[in-house]
Formats: sequence, structure tokens, C-alpha cells
Amino acid sequence: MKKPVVGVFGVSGCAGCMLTMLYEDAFKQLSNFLDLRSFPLIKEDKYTGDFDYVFIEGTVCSDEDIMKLNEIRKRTKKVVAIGSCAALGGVPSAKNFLDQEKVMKLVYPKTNQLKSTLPQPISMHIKVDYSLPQCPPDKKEILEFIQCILTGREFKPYENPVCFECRKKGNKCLLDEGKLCLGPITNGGCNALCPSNKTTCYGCRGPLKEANLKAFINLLKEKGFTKKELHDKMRTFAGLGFGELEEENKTSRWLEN
Amino acid sequence: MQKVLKKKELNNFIKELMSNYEIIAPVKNGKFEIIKDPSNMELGKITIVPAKEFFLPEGETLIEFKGKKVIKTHPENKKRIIFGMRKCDLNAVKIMDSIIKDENYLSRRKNTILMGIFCEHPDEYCFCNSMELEDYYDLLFYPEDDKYYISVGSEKGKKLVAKLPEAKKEIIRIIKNFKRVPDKSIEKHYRNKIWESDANRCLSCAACTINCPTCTCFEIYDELSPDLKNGTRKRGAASCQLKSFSTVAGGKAFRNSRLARFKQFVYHKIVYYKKRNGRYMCVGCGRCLRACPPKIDWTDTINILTGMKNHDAKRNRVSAKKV
Repeated sequence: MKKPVVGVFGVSGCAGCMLTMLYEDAFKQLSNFLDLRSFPLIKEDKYTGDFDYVFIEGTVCSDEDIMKLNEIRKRTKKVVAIGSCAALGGVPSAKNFLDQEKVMKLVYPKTNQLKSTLPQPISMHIKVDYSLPQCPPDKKEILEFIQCILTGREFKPYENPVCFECRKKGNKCLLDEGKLCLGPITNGGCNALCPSNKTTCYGCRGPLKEANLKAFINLLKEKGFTKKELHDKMRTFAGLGFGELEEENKTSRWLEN
Repeated sequence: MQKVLKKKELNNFIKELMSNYEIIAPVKNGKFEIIKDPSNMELGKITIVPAKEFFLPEGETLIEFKGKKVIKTHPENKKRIIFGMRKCDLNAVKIMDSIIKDENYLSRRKNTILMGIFCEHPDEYCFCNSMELEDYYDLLFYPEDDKYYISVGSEKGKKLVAKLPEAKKEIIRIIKNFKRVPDKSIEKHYRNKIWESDANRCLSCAACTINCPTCTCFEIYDELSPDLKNGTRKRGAASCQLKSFSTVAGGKAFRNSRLARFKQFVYHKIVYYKKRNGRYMCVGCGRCLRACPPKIDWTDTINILTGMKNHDAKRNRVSAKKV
């Protein structure tokens, strides 16, 4: 079998997703089966041909990013958004919910040279075939995805709430302890990493399609949480995604008192 | 004839058993765990997580494959005693016995001795008296003053207490529940709108089924090694409360609505299993209610449906619009 040609690229981001791939021994083993042509952390990008699969990390934050994405999309059969930034908008997307001018002045007080656009997930600009969100991405999931490529199986994204895996591990519920945990409305697959370490879920894998947002908000209200507290948490990693979920469920009405 | 053990000698009794058995008992964090020191036991409260993981461990390997060769793996054959199981936990094992017939389960079950303890302090979620529980144990400890009176339920259990003196009197106690579900005839109420008010509050987080001692549904998945040559086939818990549970190839989900999934949980425990096996699948431990984040109480709903509890105003409005 011909080895699939694979590239790894990044738009505005921290390169953490690439590091996750790089530091995984199993990935090194698996890369023997791949024709890895572009990986900024390993070698300079001189390859000009086409790809079968391209992994892209980072948020779209500038016009250069958009140009880069369009150029990559033309050269590849499949695009894989890797990490919360590429798949959902990630931490930079919190800017969508703030005053643009204020943020600009706060972060870059001395310059007005920078022109940043509204931070968005890459799917807003190019067609994305697969998404592997999480910050940093789940090593096991990346490996499973590559194994699917190599064995010709269709990759099946995880579609159960974080709570499912959390309960399977026998964890005590953080909501019961009076903490605001996004577990019930967040897509799992992370093996409940944060709640298992007594940290609440911040929704870095994005909203659960099946989430019962109305019930969740009612529960939070019963427990005395405010709209701001919920939004702060939702907008840490996947504000845009949760925003869509809110719109679908028309939650603004329930959130007011 | 019952046997007697002084309460202060319990730890020594358990310690002696440790030389031949792995001892599993409730500990402080609300779970059953393998204990090395009997003083870590916490027998006063019902555990949040049931003991089913010692019969059906999460992610257990069923087979391994090396290249094209398939190797059947066998479960660890340790001799175990689970101590501190309550009547609900013990009955749950009986129900699991009736459902699961696979080799791994049977082997673990055969090597496990059930040493129960009488439940002195049921909490506000317990309703075991309403679920027609039976006596099912190898040994059962009844605390009374400074002693345990031990009932023997099997030959296996008898051997463990052979050295202990016989009791001069017999102590049998009955568990006191506050919560009751006297009438469970809900089959005719399947389409009642009242279930919607429960399902609308449900987060579909699956806490109820994961913490249920009789929920045994599972999924099977394969894990490949990085060299793509070897792999393992594993089994983990599944939950009927998730849409993915009833989703088949092509994406069709048979229980698409939260309402259908919620009712499946209740009706399986109370109606369907009873029809087939003559007893309830629910043991009244209340773990589903305890674990539920919005604290949905389906026993309450049953009581309303069967007229055992007065409707409160809000619920009355919902159920008035019957289909």
C-alpha cells in the first residue's frame, strides 16, 4: 500500500498540538507508515506537492491565516482540525465576546501595526473533514485517527457527555460539590481528564450535540450560579460553539433570572 | 444457628481472612476498594458506587490478537471476599447472576464470597423494602450491642466462621426505610405526560445507569497497537441514557428522544424485567437518585401515577393534559 502523504500545519496558535504529536512515542512508530512531508517542528517546509491528509492547528486570527488555509486546502484531499483552536476557536475566540478596541489596547498598548480579524475556527473559512478538539489534543484519539487512516476504517467521533466517562471512573460529581462543571453539556472523549483531577470541565471538546441545555441552566440557577459565571466558563475554549448551542435552544430567556 | 463475633474483634477476623483472600470493602470515599488494612473500612454509610466493578471491570480485555492469532484471555482467578455489602448490593448480585452468563463473569463470581452487613442507617434515598428483596448471601452480619450476629447462607460462608462460637439467641432485623413505593403498576401509564417533566430535567449524563448495581449493558471495542499488528478487544459499560446506545449503522437512533430513554430506564427496572423473571430489577438502593445531578426522583413519579402521593400543583398541571 502506498503510504498516505501527510502534512502538519499551524495557523495562529501555540504549537501545543504539534508538540503533543511530536512527544508521543506511538506517533513516532505510526509515522513509519506515513509519508510525512511537512511538520514545522521537525523540518523546514519545502514540499510543494499535494497531500492526502493535512492536520491543522490554531485559530484563524489574521488575513495571512486565511490565505494560508486556502492555499493548503487546494493541495490536500482531507483536512483535519486538531486541537480546540482549529476545531472550535479555542481560547483566542473569547475575543468574539469582548470589545475589540479595548482588547487591542490592553494586549498591545504601544502599537497599532497589528491587524487581527475576529478569531474563528478554521471551519469558518475552509471545508474541514474531521475534527479532533481538546486542549491539548488527546494523544490516544490522534493515534486512533491515524490508525483509522491506515486500516481504512471510518473515524467515529466520540458523542457522549464528559459525565459518562467521569462516572465510569467513579468520580464524585463536582456539580454536587457546588462547582460549575460543564461536563453534562460537553462532548467527552477526554476520559474525563479535568474532573478526575478535581478541576471542573471547561468544555474544551466543544458542546455536546445532544445536550439538554435548558435543564442544565435550570440546575445552575437552582444552585445559585449566574449567567456571567456560566458564560465565562463556556467562553474559555469553545464560546462560539456553545453560543450556537444557546441559540438553537433559545436560552437567553431562561438565563434572565 | 447464628455465630457471634465481638465488634472489636472484627478487624482481627478480617485480617485473618486476608491471608487467603483479597478483601474488598467500603472505604471512606464512598466506593468499594481492595483493602490492606481493616481499619480503613467505612461500614456506616451506603456507598455511592456499587461493587459491580469487581464482577464487570471497566475496560476488561476479552481477547487479544497477535497478527492473525486470537488468544482468549482469562480473568484473574483471585479468591475474593466482598465485605460490607448491604441487602440491596447482595440482591443486585443475584440479578446480575440471572443476566450475565459469560465466562469472565462466572469465573469472578465463583471466586467471590459475599459477606453482607445489615443496613442500620438507610438514608433518604433508600427504598429497598419496596422492591421485594430476598435473602442472598454467604454470610450476613447483624450488629447488636457490642457484637455481630452472623447468619450463614452457604457452605462457603460456613467454613469462614467455623471457628466462631454459636449464638445463644437469634437476631434478625428488618431495614427501616423512609421512602416507599407501594404500588408499582405503571405499565398502563407509559404514555402519561408526567414522564415529560422528569425527562425535561434529565441531562442524559448516564450517572444513574453507571451507578446502578444491576445495570450491566456494555459495549465492545478494539484497541490496536501502534505497529498495527496486535490488538485487544475490550468491554466497557454502556448506557441506555445516551443516544449513541441505540444508534445503529447509518445513523438511525431507535431511542432518539430523551423521554424514551428515561422511560426505558424506569420501565426496564420495574416492568420489563419483572415480566420475564418474576422480580424487580431494581433493588431500591437509591444510587440513581443519589447520583443524579438535578435529583430527578422517578419513585416519586411512580407514586404520583399510582395515586400513592398527592399531586402538587405544578405536577397536576402537567399531568392534566393526558394524551
